[in-house]
Amino acid sequence: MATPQSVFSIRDGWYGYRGPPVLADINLTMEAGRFYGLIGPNGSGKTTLLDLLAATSQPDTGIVLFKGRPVRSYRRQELARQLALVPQDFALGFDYTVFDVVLMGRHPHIPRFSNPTAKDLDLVEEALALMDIKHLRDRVVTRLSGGEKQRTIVARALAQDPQVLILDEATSSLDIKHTIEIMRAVSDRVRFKALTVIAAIHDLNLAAAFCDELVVLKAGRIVAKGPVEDVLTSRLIQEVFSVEGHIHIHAQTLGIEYAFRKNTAS
Amino acid sequence: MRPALLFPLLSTLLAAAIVLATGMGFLRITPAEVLQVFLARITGRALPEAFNTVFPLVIMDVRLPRILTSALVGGGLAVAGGVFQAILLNPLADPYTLGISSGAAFGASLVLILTIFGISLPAWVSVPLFAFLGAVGTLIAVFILASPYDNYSSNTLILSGVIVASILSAGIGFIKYLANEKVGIIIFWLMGSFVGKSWTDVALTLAITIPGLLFILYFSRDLNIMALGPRTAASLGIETAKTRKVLLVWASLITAICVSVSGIIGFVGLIVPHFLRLLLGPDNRILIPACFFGGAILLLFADTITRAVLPSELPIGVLTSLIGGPFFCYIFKKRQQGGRG
Repeated sequence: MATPQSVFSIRDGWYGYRGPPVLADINLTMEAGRFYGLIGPNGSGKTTLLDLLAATSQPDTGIVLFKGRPVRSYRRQELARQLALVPQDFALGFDYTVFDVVLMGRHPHIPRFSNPTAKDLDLVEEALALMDIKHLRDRVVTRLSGGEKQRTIVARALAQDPQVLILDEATSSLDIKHTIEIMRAVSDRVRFKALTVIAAIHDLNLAAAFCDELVVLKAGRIVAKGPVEDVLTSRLIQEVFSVEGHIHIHAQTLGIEYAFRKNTAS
Repeated sequence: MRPALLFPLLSTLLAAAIVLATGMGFLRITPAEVLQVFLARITGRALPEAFNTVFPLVIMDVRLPRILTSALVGGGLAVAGGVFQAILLNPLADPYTLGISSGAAFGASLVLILTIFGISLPAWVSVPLFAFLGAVGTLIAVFILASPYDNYSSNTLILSGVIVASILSAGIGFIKYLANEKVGIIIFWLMGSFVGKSWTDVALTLAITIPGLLFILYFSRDLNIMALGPRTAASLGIETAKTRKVLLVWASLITAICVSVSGIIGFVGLIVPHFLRLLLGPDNRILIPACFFGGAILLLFADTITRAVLPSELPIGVLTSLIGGPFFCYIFKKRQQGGRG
């Protein structure tokens, strides 16, 4: 249930004017210091839901509360000091260096016409180190590889030092090493610094390994929500993604794993 | 280069260019004499007895207004170009991308055709005024067309600009057709000129360019963040749609006043921000003021060439495009071949 301590709470959220709604009847509460995974097929409304949370768009009906206050009643900068977004479709225009872009994460914290303080620069250095891009700091972002760009964008969000981090497929173009590193860095912050993370993730095993709770979307509706071990069942995956497979607990890692069945009639 | 070094250097260069250009022309005046006249004007003291009495007249009433207008227009166009490039995330955008120049040209042609048909208003008031109204009208039309539905995205804005500009071009074509053999007046205006600019023109340009420049500088860091795309910019605390809109309006107003005063001068607004970005990097806090100085120096230089160096005056718009075009081709080609400029 929603309490004033809840980070987010959406009540009766609907989105989409024409045709079938993109999101329908969304009722959702999220608590601080948890790692939420948002899963669902392509076009199930994950990005739209994240947009509503980040207040980059508004629901047609219903209300989104951030820390008990309507999210639209916040000033943009006030929100940006507490909430960071890593969008799926990011732009990196012009020849800024990696360092410049990560420093842009400090924008909401640095007053106009002021220079970054030592604390700002420390946070930038920390983010560069965490994302393993220290050696790229003076490189021009337009000339990076897809994965390097994505790490730069995530570092920018970490430098923002938010209480809530919203990730929209933030590891989609990364190799497995960097994917695990990012997820580990983020979940450490959840555990030790009470960061709240809401991440749209396609890889079910990744979601199972790092998330505390899952929210499952199908055709704009929430079909399940709860701790990973309760939500992630073979039946649910069959129902939501129309693929057959099974879930098991790995003997060595004790992680929940999903294996799909090849050659299945979906 | 560090800003602490760059801006003193650029302002010294501009001041030197103004003094040198003032001395050049049919009547040669040395820089020392020019400075003497400036000093006498500022302090209110009389010039020495032996001083040529024509010099102060030539300097203060003829040359200086024209020189200052050309510098302000050059600076204004370059700043506007820099803003358009940063907002539309397109290093090839220029102040005329939204069709402002076509609007101004349409307004000006309308007055010229009325004058040709004998319905005359005093030309020195009505041409700039109608050009300005035409430019502002175009801006409004483009914004209505590019409704805020998708935060004034680059594609929507550019497309709206193209549509409005092409309708206006047809209008201008029709006016030219009506003007028949007197079409020369319109064509000459379209090509741009600083001939006969007065202190009124200086004041008008100053009144919009400087507040516009200050406003844009105030938002220059926000302009940097917009390079990350509208959603990221919003998540970093920027009112994306609102900021885009006010910055575009200011850049367009600067463009409108520049075009109204001087006609359509191409390439300054494209090449100066583009070239300076290669040289100084994309940080708008440095780039925008550098554009102002760079544009001012460049257009002052070009205008001085047509006024004092060439045997007869060439329309300045033609000159800037003739110099700017090949230069742009050179940068463009060089950039393709290797590295970052």
